This record gives sequence, structure tokens and C-alpha cells, in this order.
Amino acid sequence: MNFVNRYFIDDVLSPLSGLADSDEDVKQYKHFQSDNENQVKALFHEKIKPAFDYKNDNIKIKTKNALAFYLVSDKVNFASIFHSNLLPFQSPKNPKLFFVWLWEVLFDFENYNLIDIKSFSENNDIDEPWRLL
Amino acid sequence: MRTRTTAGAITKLEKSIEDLAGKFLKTSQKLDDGHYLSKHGAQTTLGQQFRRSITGIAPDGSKGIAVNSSRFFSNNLQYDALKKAVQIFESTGKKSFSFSMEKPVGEGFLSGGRGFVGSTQNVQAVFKNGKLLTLYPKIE
Repeated sequence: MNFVNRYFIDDVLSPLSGLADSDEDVKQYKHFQSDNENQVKALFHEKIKPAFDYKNDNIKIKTKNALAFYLVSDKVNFASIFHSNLLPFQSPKNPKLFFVWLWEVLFDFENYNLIDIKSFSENNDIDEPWRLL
Repeated sequence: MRTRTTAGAITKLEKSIEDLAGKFLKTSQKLDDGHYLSKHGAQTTLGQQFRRSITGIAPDGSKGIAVNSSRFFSNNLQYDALKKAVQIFESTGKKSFSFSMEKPVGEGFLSGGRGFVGSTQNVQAVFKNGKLLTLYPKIE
């Protein structure tokens, strides 16, 4: 059995996580529109993709599986993932779409619907992303 | 009588340790130019955390975004979380990560009035330029 861990989705957002606590970053993203596809994808290309590309293959695969699994199964509340990471801008009206755009930037428009979700079980271990380094 | 005296001494000692942890966190936050005590410390009130989750006004008075808003139960627990965060940062080089403290460490309000979470074991740490920017109980 293969396992998916939602915390790999949190982990991929880590270059922006917690920045809602930084007055400087909140000011920087004051006019950022999280529903604007062009702005969101530009941000992902600038901040998320370079960090993701630097990760080891094991983490990349686990991130890809987790994102595809939850985009297809809807077993996670994407708004919850967004809110739990204290990102420095307002939440999008459609949080799932925000993560679809993330998929498109990270995996170059591959079809996430191809994942066989029945072959995966959930194991949401919050420590796994940093333990795999 | 002897038992009562011992219990009193333990209570006094625990308070001293809690105060000491608070002083450490205050100094540490200043050196780090961080926000972890002023926004998520045990000295913040649930009223302040609720206000942040609704209006974006943080316990330290800064105006930001209405986000999940949480605090540690005690200075000691935040100090323990800080030590673990530094260990992970130093051993992995990872700047932003979540981890479990394997015991309840904090509580808080979900953004936008979506509810109160009375206990979480999870913590998020964020380092910037080698310094701890923030450290908060992750409630969702």
C-alpha cells in the first residue's frame, strides 16, 4: 500500500508560511490578489517552484502524490491548509483553485486525475517532511 | 504540614521556572527581531487571539490579515517548542517546517469566526536570515 500525507502540501507552501506574522511581508503583499491566476502563478514561479525543485526526489514524489490525491478525492479542506499556514495575503474565494494552479506550476499541466486514489491510504504525519531531509 | 510546605515550594519553583522561560523568550524574540512571543505567547489573552482571527489586529497591536490565531498554554511549552525548532533547523537547514510536540501545547481561533480549537500538539516554525521569525501552535 502507498501512503499520502497532506503535510507535504503544507510543506510545499513553506517559503510563504508564517509570513502573516511579519509586518514587512504583510505590507509587501498588501495588493496581492489570491484569486488572480496570473498573480498567483507568478508568485509560485518566484517563491515556491525554486524551493520545490531543490528538494530531493523522494519529497517531490510524496508532494506530487499528496497534491494529486487530495485534488481528486476532495478528502481535505483546502481552505484549512491555506489558513493553517498563515500566508501573508487574503485567502482566495476558491481555495481549491489556488492549489490547482500550484499543481500546474509545479507539474507543468500533467493531469492529476490520472492518480489511482484507491491505491493510496492516508498517513498524515506532520514530522515526515522534515525527517526526510 | 510538611506535605503542604513541599507542595507550596513546588508551586513557587514552577512559577519561577515559568517566569524564567518568559524572560528567555522575551530576550530571544528581541535578538531574533521575531514575533513569536508578542503574537503567540502565553501572556496574550483569548480575547486578543479572537480579535486577530476576526479583524487581523494582532495581540501586539499590529494590523495584518485575519488568520488562524493561536497562543501557547505556557512560557515553558513555548520554550520547549523553540528548543525543538532550533534543533530541527540546525540539523536539517530547513527554514520553515511543522512539527509535533507530542503533547498539547496551545489553543486558538480559526480565522473568520470558524471556531475555537482547544488543544493542539502541532507547531509551525519559520526562520528568516538564520533567526526565528515566528513560532506558533498550528491549530488546523
